[in-house]
Amino acid sequence: MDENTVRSLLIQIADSSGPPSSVDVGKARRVGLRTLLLRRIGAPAASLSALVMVAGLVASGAVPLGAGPPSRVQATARLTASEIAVLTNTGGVPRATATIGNAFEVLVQRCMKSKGFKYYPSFTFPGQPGYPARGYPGPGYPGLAGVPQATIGLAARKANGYGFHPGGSGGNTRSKEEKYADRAGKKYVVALNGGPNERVKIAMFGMRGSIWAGGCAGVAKRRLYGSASNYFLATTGHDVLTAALLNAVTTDPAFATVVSKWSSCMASRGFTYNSPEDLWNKLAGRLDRSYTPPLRKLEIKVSLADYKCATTVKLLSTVHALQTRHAKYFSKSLAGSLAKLTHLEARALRIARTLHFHLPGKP
Amino acid sequence: MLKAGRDAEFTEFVAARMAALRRVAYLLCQDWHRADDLVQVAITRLYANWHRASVMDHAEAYVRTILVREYISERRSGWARRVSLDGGMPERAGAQPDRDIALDMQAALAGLPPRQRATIVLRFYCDLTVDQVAEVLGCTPGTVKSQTAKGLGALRLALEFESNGSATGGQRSASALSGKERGHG
Repeated sequence: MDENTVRSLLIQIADSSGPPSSVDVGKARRVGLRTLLLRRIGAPAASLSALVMVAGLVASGAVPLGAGPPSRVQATARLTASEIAVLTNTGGVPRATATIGNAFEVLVQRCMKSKGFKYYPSFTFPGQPGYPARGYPGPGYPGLAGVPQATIGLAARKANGYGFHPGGSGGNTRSKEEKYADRAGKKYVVALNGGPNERVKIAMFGMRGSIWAGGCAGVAKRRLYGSASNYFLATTGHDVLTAALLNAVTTDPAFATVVSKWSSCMASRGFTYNSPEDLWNKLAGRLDRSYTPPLRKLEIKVSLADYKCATTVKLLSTVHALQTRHAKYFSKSLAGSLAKLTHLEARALRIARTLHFHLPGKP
Repeated sequence: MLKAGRDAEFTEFVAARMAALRRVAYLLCQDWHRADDLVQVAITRLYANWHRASVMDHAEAYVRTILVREYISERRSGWARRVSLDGGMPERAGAQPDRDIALDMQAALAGLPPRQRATIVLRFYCDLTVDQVAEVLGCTPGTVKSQTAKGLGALRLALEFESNGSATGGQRSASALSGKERGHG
């Protein structure tokens, strides 16, 4: 039996008539979005982004992971205080980031309107927890490594727990936009992103490919960042840099120690979780399947116990100190990208401030 | 921000590649229901990483890698060892040319260890090069070559046995029976 026979037999087997597909693309989008939100809020930066994206890039040799103890063979660069602040921000969405993101949304909305389409902008507000209200977030959501819930304060926890309840992430608005986009069809997508011929090639952080550069989003990207590839650096690049840092923090022995203390404290209160991230993922998954009043009470109870334990073992201050320490040992290439990114954000902020727009009330 | 466009792009891609992904998943796990589950997991992960996948030249290769790795990882788990639906599902009713040999091949494929099976499927069904398979499976090209050789050898052995068995089916049954009788005797 030669290779061609194997090939033809495999084709024959694969072409056999199976039952109708039960794959649910909508479910994939919903669950995928949840993962995305979790990642954006901080935990993912430590887990998924770090494992999948950075590990992949580091493995390919594209991104030298400089965060962590300085290596003899790898040149490191000391970051400036403002650069460290960009990477270690834990106070929710910074004002500058919110301003740029909102300007982007307004530019896209104005452009779409001129083309005869509705566009539902996704506005963010300074200090808002690091996850987006809806849609695909822009830069500025580093969070705290391994502690996705770090930015949620005591008052918010007392009222809403972690905010997992349906609609807490703006689900209604999202579906409204989705429904409109579905009705408007392909013309809407082309107006927003441009056609296939309007993609531009990029090669950054070991990633090669092309990104959308046309349509109204392309107009906004060029206006604020100068080019679509600059926009890519400012958004995806920001993720890569943050993930590199957060990955270094979560593999630090001091991180394991403080998380272990937190876990013991939670266990003494009747909640068994290995880490704050474990709590976040498990609870989010459970509440995503069904959200009942008893589960809502549980969410609030767990979030308050988590808050008390985090305070007792000084979780947040310890992790924050670790982030700052590791940020001092960034590789030169990553530090170069960070400097460019900071420059791009400053430029985008200057332009954003020249646009006069009125935001709706804070949600 | 760009969610509508992103979702439309994702949905369009998945719709276009769904059938191909199901077929690869089916070859790997030999069960259409498990294949659907595998594809479901793969496209969910793809969505979460769409901002990266969509800028790649070969998004399909990316999702296929997720699919194969998920399959191998699942086969390693205790759950896969306890629960196996392989071979028992009544879903082979479709009339196919030379169905017997295809069924024999399917049974032989099911007998291969997960990584060997994945190697054979990727090499000969997906037509990937040795280096590409190595990248998907996260191993060296040398390992891929040895896995391919072992897998092909095992398939040859199984199919030759089947073809000899069906040619002399009566004799085999008789000898098997006599062996059994001897064992009891």
